[in-house]
Amino acid sequence: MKKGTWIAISIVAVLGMMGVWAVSRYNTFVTMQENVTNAWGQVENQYQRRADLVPNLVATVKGYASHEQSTFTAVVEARAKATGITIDPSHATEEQLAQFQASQGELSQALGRLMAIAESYPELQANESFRQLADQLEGTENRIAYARNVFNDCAKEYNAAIHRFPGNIIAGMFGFERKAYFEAEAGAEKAPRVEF
Amino acid sequence: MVGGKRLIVLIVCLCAFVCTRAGEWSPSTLPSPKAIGQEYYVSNPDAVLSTHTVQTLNELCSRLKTNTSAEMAVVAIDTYAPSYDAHSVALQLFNLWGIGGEDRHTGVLLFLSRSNREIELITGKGIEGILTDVRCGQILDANIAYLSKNDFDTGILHICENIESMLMQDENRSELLLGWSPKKPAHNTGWIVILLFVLLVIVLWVWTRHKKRQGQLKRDRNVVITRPNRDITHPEPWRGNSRASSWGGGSSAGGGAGRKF
Repeated sequence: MKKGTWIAISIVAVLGMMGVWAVSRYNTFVTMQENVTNAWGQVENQYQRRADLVPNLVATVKGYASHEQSTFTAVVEARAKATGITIDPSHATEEQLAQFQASQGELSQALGRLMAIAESYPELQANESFRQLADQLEGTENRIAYARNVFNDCAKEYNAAIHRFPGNIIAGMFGFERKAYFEAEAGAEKAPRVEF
Repeated sequence: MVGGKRLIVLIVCLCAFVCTRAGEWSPSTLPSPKAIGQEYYVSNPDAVLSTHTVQTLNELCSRLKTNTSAEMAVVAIDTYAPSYDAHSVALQLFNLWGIGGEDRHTGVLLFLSRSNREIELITGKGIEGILTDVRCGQILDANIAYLSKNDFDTGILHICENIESMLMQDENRSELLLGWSPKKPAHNTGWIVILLFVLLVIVLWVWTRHKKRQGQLKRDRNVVITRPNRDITHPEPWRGNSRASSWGGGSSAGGGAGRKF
């Protein structure tokens, strides 16, 4: 074969390999993006689960401490605010996630105050339905912490992959954007505890 | 190479010793009972539980796995590193060891810290529907009095028995066993491998004797004969051990309940 043919074959082979690599990277990014979306779904599920517990919890505590109206109102308002914010993980910005985190944080604080009140009422702590709700709340808080960690891990892995050379070329070509993730809150390294 | 391995083992033992002396365990330093064997489920490095209780718990966990497919681990320590809380140690340990089946996640971990006066029951993702947070809390509440009186043996044993009876209920057992096929114990597989290996050695030995008689393969003779002979007199560690000494690969999303006592 002529020298020119060899060169042409080499170029085609190199381009082919580059094409295969590009497709492979693209598919990897898509998979990682799906992982982030899925992890976000888990985060939302757990927050929703917590929000669903709030009305029963407030009603139970109210039965024993009806004069703590301001705390109940704060919890209900924080719940309404937290459930009012929904995020599309594929286009979420840092600000949107920070806003979401802040609203959920407010609900956490309000629930913390509610549980602190409960500690002052031994009859309430002995109430079976309250204990069950408290167990569910504690389990949900633990799951939230776990789901957030998983989401952050997925988002960080994806962000690193799309910024790393030469993958960033493919990411730039096909519009793979950086994902926002949860920032650590003060004292957030340990899940909040609900204790009797 | 051998010296290097010995050095690593020595360093690991030293680290474990230092941690034990300090009395502060972390998920990565806690010894897995599976390092001893597949039929062990209890980690009791600070001798919080008596030998008899550990033996009873191992039997209970083994029976539970056979009957329901659920894998239960019990960890009883004096205290954990201050950078952790009981739940984070237990949850990280659960996911580090991989308690419960890899595809089914039907694991349970009971974690007790004597000095911290804390107990945690962590459930795998696949068993949360049966052992709900509420049920876990109820089981702990029912036995917390034993722990408060420092009767850890009775408390832990009763908690495990409660879990077993709950999982053994017909509807729960059916759910756990749905689509599950018990694997043969790893040591059986190992014996088959050893048997096949011995048969292979005999065949090779007979074959080389035959060739020797024919005056052929003079150079190959030593190689072929010495390899099986070396393996018989100095058998290599059984490969099945590494697989046998592991948990199922399950994970937990943080479900369960915890109590202070």
